[in-house]
Amino acid sequence: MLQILSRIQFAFTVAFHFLFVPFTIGLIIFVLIFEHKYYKTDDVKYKKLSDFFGNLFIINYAFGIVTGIVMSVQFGTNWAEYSRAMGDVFGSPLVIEALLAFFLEATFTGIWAFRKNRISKTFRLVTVWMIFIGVLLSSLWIITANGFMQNPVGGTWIAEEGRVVFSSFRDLFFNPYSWYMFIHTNLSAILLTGIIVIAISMYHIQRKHHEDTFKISARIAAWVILLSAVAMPITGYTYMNFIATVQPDKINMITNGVSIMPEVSAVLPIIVKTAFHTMTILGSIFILFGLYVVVFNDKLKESVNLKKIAYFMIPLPYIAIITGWMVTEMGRQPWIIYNMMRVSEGISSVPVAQVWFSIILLVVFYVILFFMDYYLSIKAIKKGFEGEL
Amino acid sequence: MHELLGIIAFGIIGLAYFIYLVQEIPIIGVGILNIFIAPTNEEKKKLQSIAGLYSDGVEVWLIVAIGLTFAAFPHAFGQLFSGIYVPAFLLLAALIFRGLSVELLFKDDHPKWIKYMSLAWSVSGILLLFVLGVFFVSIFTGFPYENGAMSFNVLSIFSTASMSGGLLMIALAFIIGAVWIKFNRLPELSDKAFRLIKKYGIIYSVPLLFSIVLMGINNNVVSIVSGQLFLANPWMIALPLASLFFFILVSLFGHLKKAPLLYGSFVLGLILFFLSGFLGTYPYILFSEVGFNEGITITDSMASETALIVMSVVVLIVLPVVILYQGYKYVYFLRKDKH
Repeated sequence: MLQILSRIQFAFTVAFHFLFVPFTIGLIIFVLIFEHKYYKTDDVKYKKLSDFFGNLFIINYAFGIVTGIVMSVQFGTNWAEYSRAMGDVFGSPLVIEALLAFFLEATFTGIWAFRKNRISKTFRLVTVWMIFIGVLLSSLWIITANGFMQNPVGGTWIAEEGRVVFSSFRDLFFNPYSWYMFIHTNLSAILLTGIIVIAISMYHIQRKHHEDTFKISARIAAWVILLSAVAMPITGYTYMNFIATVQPDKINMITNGVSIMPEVSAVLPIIVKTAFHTMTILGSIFILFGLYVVVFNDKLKESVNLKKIAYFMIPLPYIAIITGWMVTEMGRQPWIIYNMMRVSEGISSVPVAQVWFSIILLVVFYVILFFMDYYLSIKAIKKGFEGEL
Repeated sequence: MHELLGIIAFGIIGLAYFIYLVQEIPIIGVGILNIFIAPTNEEKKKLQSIAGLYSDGVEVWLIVAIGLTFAAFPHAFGQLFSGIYVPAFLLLAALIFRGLSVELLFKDDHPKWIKYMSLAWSVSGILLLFVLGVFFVSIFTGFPYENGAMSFNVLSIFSTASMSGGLLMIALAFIIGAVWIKFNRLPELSDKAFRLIKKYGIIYSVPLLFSIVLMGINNNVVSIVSGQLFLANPWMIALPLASLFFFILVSLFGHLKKAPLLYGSFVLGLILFFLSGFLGTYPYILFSEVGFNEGITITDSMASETALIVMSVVVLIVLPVVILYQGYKYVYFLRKDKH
């Protein structure tokens, strides 16, 4: 029971956290593009776009950061044995992530959120660059930690002590699994944001609200969708070929819907297979959508159907991302660290009642947070360029 | 070499906790004060502006301290946080609402939104500092850890001493929050804050609460003054006493409204408090109140030499850079800001 509850809690908190993460990764890239254009051309349209999408970034970043802190404490509260076994290797990327990435993005996000209208153009650009670098480094280091769990290189398993000992920083950092994940995950974040940006832009274009300005964001978003959607299967295919060499059982689950591990239930590989196919079907839809919005970019102004399609598309990249992570994480079962440590060996021995307490607390809070984010984001989107951003 | 790296990591964790708290207390103080001294939206916006600018960057210090404990002392990290499961989630709840309220206070102009968010900003700040105070005093007084496990219920760490520590943090936040408002050249709001902390006696509660914390630390069977370093160097007893002296000065300078001297006394008092606590618990990373031998020492729990080398190199290169750019941010905006 304890194991199931801890797993449910972790899956729930990480999935919820990941609602905000990809959107902020993608948004900061868009803001960087607009801010660069503004810096070079002095055209106030780009400043408006930067402020508008920057405001959405701040709202979602706030939710992302607070739900992220839960994750780091949770390793200690619910996964004490995992922390003990893995701390040697997992700890370093986490600390590096905090030192290199979190400080950078948090320090400069504060400036962006509360002083962007009082600082010079150059300071604005530097601020966005620093946030962008911070966001990118953050995703790199957390994926490095996750990459080790998938393909443990750079650490040696000491069976007598039941823990991993750090052996090579180079191997850990250049783990191919991490780099495939890093590229694939960030591309999916960019794609997701492109779809949301085009839907928001179309909403304003068709309301004839600063349509010239929103046409700029729609055009950029259309190309971003197409390019990232095309790049996804290319990177995904090479990623799969690599997985076949290090996690053959995951490929077995994806292709045949079965696992060779006796302790894996019969249902799990079927879920992995279904999740994988859902992701690839959605990937094909994204390519078609990308082509459509690039080719018919001029029709954005009047096509009501295209606007409806764009709205309908918004949940799809979220589904694709969640199913992608389901393949990654469920596909490595029963291992928490592949071929080294089982998930069941990683949990804390805490009273079940306490875990129930934390699950109920988190569910209640997260439901509130979800509605807060939805309410604020929709309101900010509808508001457009009106008011202080 | 391995042990030395472990000791360095222990020192850096203590330093990170200190840097976090010394910045967090004024920032949270502004948030707590908002419902007492800033009835209008314009006033609330000013307070949000001087707190929100720094709050995210400050919070990272806590993540670094927790992350370093995980990385450098994985066994102790697991034992500690699974042992304080419920308080840890209370801390998270407070962090969530404090982080969101300060960022999102004016993201909607509906009066109810602003009312509840400003209330959440204040209440989450109080809860956060209370749990942090309880947590730090428990680190210094020790946890009921024996035979390799925590032996207590969810409320055991809420002792008289630790709760006094929590109240001490809240009282300091009220006072240093008022100072921070003054440093940011908002004299009317700062005057209101000073009147409030004098009227309700908050300014005078600091030495009293700290004395209870010290008694709690020293009255235990296993206490920091009977720890390895304090026994070997009896003069070190001067550290907690000097800390008490500076906390008395906090009250005195608060009474006289001497903001810079008050702030200096607070920083010195806190440094000496943390030095006393961490040096007193040495060589234990998880100090047990049951008996010295029950705790987890630095060497018992430290990560491998390779892991500690990687971490030390990164910390020694990156941390000064972070301190530099965060410090510059304070200097730049404290000079430039006009409200």
